Amino acid sequence: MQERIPVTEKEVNEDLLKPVFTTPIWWWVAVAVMATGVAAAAGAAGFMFVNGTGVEGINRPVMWEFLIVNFVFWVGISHAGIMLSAILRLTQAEWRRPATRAAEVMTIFSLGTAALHPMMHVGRAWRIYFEFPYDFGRGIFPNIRSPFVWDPSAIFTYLTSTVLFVYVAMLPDLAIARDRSTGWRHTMYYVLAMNWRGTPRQWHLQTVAGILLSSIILPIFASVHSIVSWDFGMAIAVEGWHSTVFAPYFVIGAVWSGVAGVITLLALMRWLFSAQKYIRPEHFDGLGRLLSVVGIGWFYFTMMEICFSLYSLEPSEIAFRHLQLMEWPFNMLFVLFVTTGFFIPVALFMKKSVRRNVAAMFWISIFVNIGMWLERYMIIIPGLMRKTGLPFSWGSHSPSPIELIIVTGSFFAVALGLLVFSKFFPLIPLSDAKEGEVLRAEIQVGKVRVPAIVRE
Amino acid sequence: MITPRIPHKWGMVVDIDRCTGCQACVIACQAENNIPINTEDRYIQRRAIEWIRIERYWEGVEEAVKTGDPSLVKARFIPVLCQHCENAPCEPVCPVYATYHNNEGMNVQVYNRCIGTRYCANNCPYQVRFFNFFQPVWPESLYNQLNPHVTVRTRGIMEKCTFCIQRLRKVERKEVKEQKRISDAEFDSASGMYGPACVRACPTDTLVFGDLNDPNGRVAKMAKDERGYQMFDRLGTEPNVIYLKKVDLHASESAHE
Amino acid sequence: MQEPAPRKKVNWMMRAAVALSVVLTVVITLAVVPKILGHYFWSIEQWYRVTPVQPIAFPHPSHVQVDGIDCLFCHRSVATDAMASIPPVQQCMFCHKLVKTDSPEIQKLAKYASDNVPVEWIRVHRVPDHVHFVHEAHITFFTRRDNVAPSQVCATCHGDVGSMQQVKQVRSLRMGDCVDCHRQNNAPTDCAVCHY
Repeated sequence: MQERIPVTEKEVNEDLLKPVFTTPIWWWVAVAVMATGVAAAAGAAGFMFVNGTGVEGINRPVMWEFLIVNFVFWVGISHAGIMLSAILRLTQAEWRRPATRAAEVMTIFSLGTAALHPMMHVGRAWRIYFEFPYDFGRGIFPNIRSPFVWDPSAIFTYLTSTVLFVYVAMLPDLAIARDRSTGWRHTMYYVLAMNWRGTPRQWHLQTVAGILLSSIILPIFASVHSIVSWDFGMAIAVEGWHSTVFAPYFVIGAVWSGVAGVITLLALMRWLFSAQKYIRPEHFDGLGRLLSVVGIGWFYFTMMEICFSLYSLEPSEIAFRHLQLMEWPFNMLFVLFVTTGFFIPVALFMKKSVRRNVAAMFWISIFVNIGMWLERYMIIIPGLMRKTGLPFSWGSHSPSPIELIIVTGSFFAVALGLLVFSKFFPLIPLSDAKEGEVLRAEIQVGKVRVPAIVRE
Repeated sequence: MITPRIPHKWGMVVDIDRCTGCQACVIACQAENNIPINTEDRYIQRRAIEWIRIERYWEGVEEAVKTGDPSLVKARFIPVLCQHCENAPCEPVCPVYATYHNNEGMNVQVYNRCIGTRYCANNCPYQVRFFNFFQPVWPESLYNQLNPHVTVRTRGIMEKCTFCIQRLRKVERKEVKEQKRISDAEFDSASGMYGPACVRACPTDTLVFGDLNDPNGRVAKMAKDERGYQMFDRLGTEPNVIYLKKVDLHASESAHE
Repeated sequence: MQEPAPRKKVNWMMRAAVALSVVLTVVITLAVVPKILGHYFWSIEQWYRVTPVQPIAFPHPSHVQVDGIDCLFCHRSVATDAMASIPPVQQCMFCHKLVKTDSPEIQKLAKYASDNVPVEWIRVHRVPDHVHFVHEAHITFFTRRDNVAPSQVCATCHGDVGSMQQVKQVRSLRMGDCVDCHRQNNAPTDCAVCHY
C-alpha cells in the first residue's frame, strides 16, 4: 500500500528499541499513577480478605457481581491475543504485524488480572487450592462437572500458551536487544535470548514453532470464553443465564471487545512511543474492517438471545426481561450499552475516513469496551435480581466502594503490566516489522492492489 | 453381628392449607442450628440467614381495590426450606464437592470443604442457600447456648437446611442399636423426639417429616395426596419436599360463577 | 544477522542460567513434595502431638492396671453418647476421701472438691469443631464386631492408656486416618457422616 514509509533494518532496530532503552519522564509518572491504583486495589482486596466478602455489595439473590462482571470483561479482552496472533497469522493478514505482540502481552496481563478476580471473590480465598486436584489420598477430587473447575484449566492453558507464544516470537528481538545493551540488562537478554544467533536453522525452527503454536492454540480460541459463558449457561435457576447461545455469543463478544482493546493500545503506542512509521492508519483500517464484521455478528447474537427468551413466554423469563429492558436503571443502561457497544462503533467503522483516523478509532474503541462491560453487567446482575418464580426473594443490588476500587484497580493493573513490559521488551515486534518490509511486493486483485503474501 | 444400615430417604410434606404463618418453625430452626442473629440491618441488606422462611403473598389485592371490598384480600403463606432435590442444580456446579447428594436422599453441605464460590446459591431456584458474609457473632452471653451437635459456621461458606441431620444421626444410631426401623411417630410434632426442629415446633402440623422409603409411614402416604405438588417441578429438580395445595373454598366458588 | 557473541561468555552465562533453574527446581521440590507426601505416607502430624502436663498428675496405670477399674467406670457416657465424659471431682472423691489422702496430688484434688470447682484437665484428643465424632457409634460397632466389652475397644484409637503415666495421642486422628479405618471396616465414607 502507498503509505508505507520505507525503513532500513537499522532504523527499525533503533526506533523500536528506543522505548526500551530510554526512560522518559512520562513513563515514571504513569507508572507512579498506575502503581498507586494497583496498591489501592490490593489494599481493598486485603480489606476484603480480612473482613469477609460481605464488604462487597453482594446480598442473597445477587451473589455474584462486579468482580465477576470484571472477570468476564478481562477474559474477553484477552481474546484479542489469540485472534491476532493465531487466526490472523494463519490467515496471513499483513496488517496484523505491529499489533501482534501488543495483543499477546495484553492477553497475558488481562488474563492474569482476570484470574485474580474469582480468587479474590470466593468466601475463603485461603482455601482456593481445594479447586485443584491435590488430594488423592482421601479420594477427594475436584468436581469436574463444575464449570468452576473448567475455568482454571482453560485460563491457565491459555495463559501458558500465550506466554510461550510471546516468548518464541520475541527471541530474535531479544537477541537484538542483547547485542545493544550492557550491564545487567545484557545478562538478562543474554539468558532470555537462549543463544539466538539468527542462523537459518534457528529462523526455521522459530517460524515452525510459531505456526505450530498458533494452530495448537486455535481450540483455545473457541474454548476459553465458551467455558466462561458456561459459568452462566449451566445455571438453570437464573433466567437470562441458561441460554444455549451463550458460548458463541460470549466468544464473539470477546473478540469484539478484545480487538477494540488492541485498537486502544495501538493508538496509545503510536502516540507515546512515536511509532508513526510502524503503526500506520492502514493497520487501524484493517482492524476497523474486521471489527465491523465482528460487531454485526455480536449484535446478531445479542438480539437473538433476547428473542429466544421472549419466544418462550415463561413468566419468570418475562419478569427478567422486563427488568432488563423496561425498568430503571437497566433500561437506561441497556440503551447505553446498545448505543456505545454497537450503533456508534459499527456505524462509524463503515466510513473509511473514520477508520483511518487514529484519534477517532481510539475513542470508538473505548466506547466499544464501555458497551461490552455494560453487556456483562446486563447479563449477570439483572438475571440474579429476578432469579425465579418466588418474587418474595427478588432483590436489588448496589455496589460497595471496595469493589469499585478493585474494578478500577484492575484497569490500572493491566496498564501497569504493559508499561513495565514495554520498559524491558519491545512492544512492537522488530522481526515482524522487518519481515513486513521484505514482503512488499503488490499484486493486482480486481480493482485494488494488495500486498502479495510470500510465506514460508 | 453388624446389621446393614437401613436405607432411608428422608422427606417432608408441607401442608400449605394448615400454615398460619406463625413463624415458630423459623425461630426453632434458628435456635437449633446455631444460626446467627438476624438483625434489622441484615434484613435490609438482604443478608439474613433463615434456613426455613415463610414467604407471604397477598392475593386479590387488585380485585379488592376495584370493588372496594377489603375482605377479598387473602394472605397466603408458604414455608420454603431446602427442598433436598434428587436432581439438585446446586450439586454439579460446586467445584469442590462441598455439596452433594448422599444416599439418604439428602442434599448435604460440607462446611469445611466449602470455599465460598456462591455458585450453588446462584443456581438454587428456591433461594434457600445462605452465605456467611461475615464472621457470625453472638452476644457474649449467648455463646453458651450454641448447639454442640451443630458446627458453628465461619465466614465465607454456604449453609442451608440439613433436615436437622444431627437428630437424624441420633435416629440412625438408635436403629443400629435396636436393629429395627424407627417408626414415623418418632418424628411427629406432637409425640416424637427426633423430628427436625421446625417440625417439632409447628403448632398446626403443617410440616410432617419422615422416611419416604417406609411405605406405611405418614409422609409416604401424604406425599401421594392428590393435592401434592413439588415446587418448580418444571425444572426437573425432583424435590424431596412435597407441598400440599391450599384448599380454597372461595376460589372454587368464584370459579363456578 | 548478528555477529555471534564470544564463545566463552555463552558457556558461562548459559551455565549460570541452567544452574539457577536446577537449583530453583530442587528447592521447590524439596519444599513442596514432602508437604504433599506428608498427607499420605509420613506422620508429620506426630511432630505436633504433645503430651500435656495435667493440673493433677493422674496416673492411669495405677487405676487401670493395679486397681483394675473399668474405663467405663469413670468415662461413663462413652458407650451411650457422643462424648466420653470426664468424671466430676465428686466422683473421684468417692474413693479418695479415704484412699491415699496423704499424697500431695490427692490433696490438690481435695482442694478442688472443697472449693467446688472442676479440674481443668487439658484436652489431649481433639478433633476440629466441624467434625462430629460419636463414641457411641464406634463402640457399638467394635463391641458387636469382636463381641467384646466396651472397655476393650478404647485402645483402637487411644492406644493402651492403661499403661500411660501421662496420656498422649497415639493416632493422628486426621481425616485420612479416619477415612482409612472407615474404608477398612466398610463403614460409610459419606462426608455428612462426620461433617454436619
